[in-house]
Amino acid sequence: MITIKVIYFDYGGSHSSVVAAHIHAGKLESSETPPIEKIINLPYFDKTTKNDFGKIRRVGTDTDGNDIHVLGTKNGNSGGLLSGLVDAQNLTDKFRFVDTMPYVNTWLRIGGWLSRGPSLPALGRPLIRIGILQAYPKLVTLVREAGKTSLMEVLQ
Amino acid sequence: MNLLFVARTGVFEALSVGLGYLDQEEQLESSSVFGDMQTEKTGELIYLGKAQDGNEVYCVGNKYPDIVVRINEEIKSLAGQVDSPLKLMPVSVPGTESIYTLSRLAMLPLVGNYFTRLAKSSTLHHKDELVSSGRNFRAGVTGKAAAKPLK
Repeated sequence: MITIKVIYFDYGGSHSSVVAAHIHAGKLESSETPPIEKIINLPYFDKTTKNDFGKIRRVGTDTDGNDIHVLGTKNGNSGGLLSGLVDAQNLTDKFRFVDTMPYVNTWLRIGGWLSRGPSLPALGRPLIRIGILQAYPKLVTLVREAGKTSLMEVLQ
Repeated sequence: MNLLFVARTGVFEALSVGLGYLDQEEQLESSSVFGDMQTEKTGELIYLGKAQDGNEVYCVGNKYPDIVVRINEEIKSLAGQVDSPLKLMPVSVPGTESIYTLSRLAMLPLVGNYFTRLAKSSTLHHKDELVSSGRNFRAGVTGKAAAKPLK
């Protein structure tokens, strides 16, 4: 079976991309929003540092055997760059990049910046909680669209 | 081995260095992407052509060239065998820092075009340094005005 690397990416690689990747890897429920504590305790969630920008970190495997990863690009518009890098190296068939930036709402934006920027998680995390709960159903939809057939069966 | 020049601006600095590498610097002013802010905003790779040594040459702009380099290394590492690997050349030419600032201002609504003209003018003012950086890459020489890797 041919498998690919599915890489969810956003600016920081800390919140929306991490949640989407864990949904895809089957580590978070897709039928309903899980308890916020379960999200907060995910590996990489709200834990990345500036040294993690550009690192592609593995989250798990989906039901088709595709490896699921997360990436923080320190840029709000990296889709073209990432596609270009794989296209120029004839690697298009091996990678799928999924942009979660459109699902980063204002709560996540401000909370994420407070938590990861000036390192004020006590201020940022309450906002992140609100933001991620609001974004969760949309991230499930995104993963459905990004996923493959058997993944969709699991999600449905 | 294909080459990708990465600078803080793609349609100004990286384009000039890439054309210098290709020995096509006379095409800078007539290039359709020179100062094209729509292309800059997409962040996509710009194909410049094939060099005499057979390398396909691209350029791109990104505020953090070192992160682009790291992403590409990660992609190659995950892919395993890569038949046509892309070598990234992060460039920073001393004295051209204002081009980046002007390019950001060029993205502003209403007044953007004014700053686009200034950024193009500044690029042309530094054209010799930028072009010679590209030539030095080709020659494998690190001269006084050569582009240097970003930390």
